[in-house]
Amino acid sequence: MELTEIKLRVVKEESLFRKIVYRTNWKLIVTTVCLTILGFIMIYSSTINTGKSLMFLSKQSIAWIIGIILMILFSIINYQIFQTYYMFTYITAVVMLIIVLILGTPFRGTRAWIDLKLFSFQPSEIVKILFLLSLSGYLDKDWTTNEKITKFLISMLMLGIILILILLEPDISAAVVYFPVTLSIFYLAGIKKNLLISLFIYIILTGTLFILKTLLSLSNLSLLPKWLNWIYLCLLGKGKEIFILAVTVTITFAFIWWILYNLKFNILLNHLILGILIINLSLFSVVASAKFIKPYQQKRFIAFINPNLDPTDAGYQVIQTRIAIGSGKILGKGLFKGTQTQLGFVPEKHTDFIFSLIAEELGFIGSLIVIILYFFIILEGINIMTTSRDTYGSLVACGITSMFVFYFFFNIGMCLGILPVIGIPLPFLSYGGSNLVSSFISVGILNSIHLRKFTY
Amino acid sequence: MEWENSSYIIKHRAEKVFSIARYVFLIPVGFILILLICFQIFLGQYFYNLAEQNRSRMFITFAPRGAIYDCNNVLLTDNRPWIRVFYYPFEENKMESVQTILDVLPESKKKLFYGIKTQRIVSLSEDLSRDKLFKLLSLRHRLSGILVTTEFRRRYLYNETFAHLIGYIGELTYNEYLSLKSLGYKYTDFVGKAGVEKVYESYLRGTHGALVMEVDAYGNPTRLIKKIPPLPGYNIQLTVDAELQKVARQALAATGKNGAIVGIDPRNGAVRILVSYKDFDPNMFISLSSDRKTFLTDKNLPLLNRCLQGMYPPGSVFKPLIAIAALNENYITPTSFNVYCKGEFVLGNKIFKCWEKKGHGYMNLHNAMRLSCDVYFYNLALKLGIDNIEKYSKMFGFGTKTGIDLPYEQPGVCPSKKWKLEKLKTAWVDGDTVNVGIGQGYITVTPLQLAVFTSAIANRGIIYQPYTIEKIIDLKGNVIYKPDIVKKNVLKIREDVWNIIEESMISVVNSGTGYAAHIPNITLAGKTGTAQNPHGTDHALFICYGPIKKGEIPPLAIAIVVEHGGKGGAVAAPIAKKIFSAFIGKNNSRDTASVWN
Repeated sequence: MELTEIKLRVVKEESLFRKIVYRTNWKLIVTTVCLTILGFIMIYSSTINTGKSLMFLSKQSIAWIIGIILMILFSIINYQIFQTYYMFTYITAVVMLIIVLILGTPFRGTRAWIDLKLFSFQPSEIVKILFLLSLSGYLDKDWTTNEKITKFLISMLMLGIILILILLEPDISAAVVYFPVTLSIFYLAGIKKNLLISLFIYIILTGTLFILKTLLSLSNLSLLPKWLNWIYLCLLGKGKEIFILAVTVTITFAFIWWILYNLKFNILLNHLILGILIINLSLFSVVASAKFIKPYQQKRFIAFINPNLDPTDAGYQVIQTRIAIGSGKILGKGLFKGTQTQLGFVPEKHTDFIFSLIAEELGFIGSLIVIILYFFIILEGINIMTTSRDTYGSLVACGITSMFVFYFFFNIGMCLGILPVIGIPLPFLSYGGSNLVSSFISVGILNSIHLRKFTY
Repeated sequence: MEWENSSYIIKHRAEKVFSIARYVFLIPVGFILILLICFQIFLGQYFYNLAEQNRSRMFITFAPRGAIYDCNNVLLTDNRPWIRVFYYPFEENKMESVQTILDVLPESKKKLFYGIKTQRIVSLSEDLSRDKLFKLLSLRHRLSGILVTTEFRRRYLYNETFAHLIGYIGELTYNEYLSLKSLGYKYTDFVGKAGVEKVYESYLRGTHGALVMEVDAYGNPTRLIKKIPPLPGYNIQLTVDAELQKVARQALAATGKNGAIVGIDPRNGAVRILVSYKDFDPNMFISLSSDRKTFLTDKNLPLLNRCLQGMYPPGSVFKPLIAIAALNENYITPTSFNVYCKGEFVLGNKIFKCWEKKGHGYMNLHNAMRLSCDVYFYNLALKLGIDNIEKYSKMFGFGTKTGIDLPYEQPGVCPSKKWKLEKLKTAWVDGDTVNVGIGQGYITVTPLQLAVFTSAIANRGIIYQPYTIEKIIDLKGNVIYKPDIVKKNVLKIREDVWNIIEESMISVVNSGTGYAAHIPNITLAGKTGTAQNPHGTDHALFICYGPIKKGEIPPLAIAIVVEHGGKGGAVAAPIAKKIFSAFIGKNNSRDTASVWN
């Protein structure tokens, strides 16, 4: 029945405007707008004591208007052109990052902003969508070849160039979001499982080694066994130890493989090379990370590992935001009446820690509203992904949805102290124009996919 | 490529991925939801309390300790502002600050550099003078890292004079803190350690107030949440007379010997004078001066309250008790018992000497009292027996604590047959009785007991429990507490006995051994004492009461002990004269019959 009705409508050749109004995913749009309204109230609440709340609100309003316009624009534009011109899209992203490295104004030691006099603009927020579109476009070209390693390697090169440019800024928090997006697109696009697992292991291994390095830097080295001291020297990467370790690992793996191979175990040479590559890459990434990670980020990481170690500074944030969220109880302390947030115990309460403010002032009811609204957005994302007319739409929707899931999970996890504080915003709620605009663009693209699922 | 056109394999794979993606994307949302339920609902109250602790800070406002007045409302002890200066190493214009501090407080150089070196807060000055404070405040613009605090500190206006009566306050020891914590004491609090300060601690102390302030993350107060005003301690009016106390202390100090003077009002038992010398300045304990350590090592024991804790043989001042006992028990009449004093008394193979080596000749009771003849009282004591002496000693309160409201009182020793058997494991012999007859031997008394004894003679048989405070009043003047006048004992002694004793004691002052206390036109009754002791020169004692007017109970009875002073009549009696002269002079100048009513 439904199908015939829709077909009839198509036959009628409705005007573009009517098409868009009728077929727009209003559920998604209304949900995001609701979130931004809550965001406005909470930004007002968080800046009420600074006396500059009007300034904050007006800046956010401009971004909101731009965001809405762009959302409509991206709904109207057929998303498929990004597939057709994926190379162009990718080059645009790279050029934007190069421009920001040249023209960007340093802020807190990061060259991530371009000052446009009226407002400043963070290109990496747009770049992540452009990258998502171009990566999907590249992988969508021919699904049958997606299992080949060359495609994986080229995709990784695309990611690598972008990541290196971002890390040159350096902006760790902007770089982190690329991993879940890339992984989810790879998974859907049918990249070989081995390679995916390798990528996953690489991320986990690098993270573990980084934690190990941080832990070792915190402990009294003279009390530790000699081999741990030696590993710490390796991870510091200042001498030749790291190369000795790399060679040792390579030879050991090769030797073990050779024994197992002679014992007639069916292990391919590929696996061996992959394993050795992953371990060595992880080792060198950890050494190299020292150049990109700023001292305050290192401190936050320490605070995440043990908040009580440094309760006055970085660990303080972790403890205080957790207290703020918990102290909201069920009904909250009332709007503008949060003690933890209003008295300055929670830092960055209008940006990264805005969820603490909501949870404290509006209680569990407030946090439940946020969770339900995000649940709708994610659910709509999944729906759009599964019902998309073409494979490209599914890939893009998958990437965007995973991005929202990541932001939601990481930001609230950060507020609750179960994840390190690395400056991940909560889209639609946190103060910050670039993020708001890019989130609206993402919703626009999702809507564009939704709009066109019935067009034959 | 459209899904419809894609191959079956790809489509099939994608279907699988979609179903997995549903879970992968929605599991984090559920996880966050569960965490928030735990944090906000189950642990909500815990975090709420933490947040409350975070935002509120208590600033204690110390309650000023109650003031202490004498019986004429002369202020003896109060509080003064105590200004302390702290320095915390602060990077901003450090050199200029340090230079300025050194200009104003050059003596704090060592502490200042210690603070800079160790990056710690140091106290630069414990008690800043007004001038220096103003100087420091006027240079405030050049200083950073300076903190000035004002607290109340105890001030003893008369320094040493009331040291043993009022006592002193000191910092809590750890054990004291543990036992007083439940009463709201802070570890930095001061607590009464001796004298009235110790006994009436709970009245004097007051209750600390507090300001509960809301503070921001930097500790800056933003708003007042709750204000608990401090309750100042109650004021205490003592029974002591500051003027007499001062005279007594000066007179005793002038002898250069240690000693004690206790003056009691025979009409009610109020302590008017309480001097123990050598004494100390209680202000030393407040300023945390290092001098206070010397008090502990001083051979003159300045911390010993000799009035209550010094135990001395009473010597001849004990003789009135023997006389009262003999008369009241009808062993003698004033005329029936006469003794010839040839300067010594022989009992068995022992010789007991009279202080007058050539002897007094024939002595009756009156003259024996007047001239303090030892031989007469040797005989009388022997006639009376130790049991009677013990009975009357106990009646007058010897051997037991008087019950004064001051700490660490000693009971002295009132010897008896039983006491000697228990303590020394030997039987009582007549020689011991003879010794006790002139207040020597085993008997020891405190100056306070002597004063109570004197006052009982003055008021003819009423033993009052001595007390030191007139009343405790709050800030509005309402009386919070007024001690009851306690008659510990009313002695059943015939009126004619009192007359005889008083007559003989008046003659001691008018024409006897106590003539040094004689004041023209004023009738005083007294008894001198010279107590031998194994430590050296004799103690000089004198008990005295007066001025005697017919039909009235005399208003002051005093007991004076001068350790190793020599003759009681020569050393102790002049002190009594000074005190009574001051007392009478004071009465005349005020044109009132009695100052203490």
